[in-house]
Amino acid sequence: MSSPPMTSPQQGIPQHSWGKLMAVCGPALRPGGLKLTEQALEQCAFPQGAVLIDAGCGLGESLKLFTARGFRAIGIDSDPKILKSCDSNAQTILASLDDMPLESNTADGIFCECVLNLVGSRKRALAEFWRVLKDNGLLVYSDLIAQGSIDNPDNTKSPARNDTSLIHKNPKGPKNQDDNLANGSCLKGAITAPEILSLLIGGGFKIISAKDCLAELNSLAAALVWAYGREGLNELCNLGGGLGGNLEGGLGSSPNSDPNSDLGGDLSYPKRPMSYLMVIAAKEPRENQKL
Amino acid sequence: MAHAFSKFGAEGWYCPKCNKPLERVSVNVEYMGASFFVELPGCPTCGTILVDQELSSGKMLEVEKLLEDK
Repeated sequence: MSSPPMTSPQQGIPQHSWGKLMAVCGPALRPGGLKLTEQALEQCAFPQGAVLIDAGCGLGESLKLFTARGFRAIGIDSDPKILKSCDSNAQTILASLDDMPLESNTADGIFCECVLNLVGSRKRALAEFWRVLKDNGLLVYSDLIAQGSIDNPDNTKSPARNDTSLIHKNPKGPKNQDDNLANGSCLKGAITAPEILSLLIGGGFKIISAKDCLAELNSLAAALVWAYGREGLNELCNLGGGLGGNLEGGLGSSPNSDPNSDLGGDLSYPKRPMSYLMVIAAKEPRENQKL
Repeated sequence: MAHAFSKFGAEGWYCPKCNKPLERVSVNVEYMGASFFVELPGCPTCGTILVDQELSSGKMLEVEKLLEDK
């Protein structure tokens, strides 16, 4: 299968910083690591042989877990360097998550963990997930969220966005421009829990469960500071706004203190609390969706 | 009863209760809902962990402040 051109930004974590991050959180570069993935697998109870897609497979830790559990795993990532380092026997495809070269209605499950905030168009990616999933197939989504956790659903204002009303007015229709910030930073791309839940529902998904994983985010942040200090975490922030940037922002510090940051001149995002949300959602067949 | 660890020159720390040299052991550190594993010197027999002053007033304090700021 030929690889389509990449249309989404590459993962926000430069290769030379993987080692530092992996030393702390293991090869699964996200809060909670494989623990949350295992929890989701248990909850989803996929049958043996189920086709599971890891959207944004990174170094392949989840793929290894899927194959070890007897599932057919397929990994997709838009970063050729990451795919080259992917340590898995599963099939991997170089592709953008918002344009996946997969047949419709073929996947039993799609895992998209700590990736969607980096994708150029969150809506298009969700539409692709919906297309590729079988009816009632399950999407396991997790990512950093901005203020307004699932414990505070009324807080729908996101400091990273000023067009949140568009989500609710037209949740299904594509827009001419990306609905995500597409700036390579999970922090700047983060939206609130109500916003992502609205996107999922508007995209034809039924929410099965939503879990606030703040403890996992805090644990990773604490472990990184323990290992590298606050300055070390700041260095990770300045490597491109990847995981370190998320955590530093999440911990209330201003990442715009370094004028030499690789984040360039657009460093105006404010201090704000962050959390980490895991959602399991089922694809609703078109005929079941309320118009 | 608390026991004071003893340090004997270049040989490192000993557990005064068990008279065993401390080894690097994996410890689950928990604070304010966050938890993570680190390696710290501990007694292989009784499991007592040593947190020296440098650690407690250094990176441990840094992490505590970080989490308290949340």
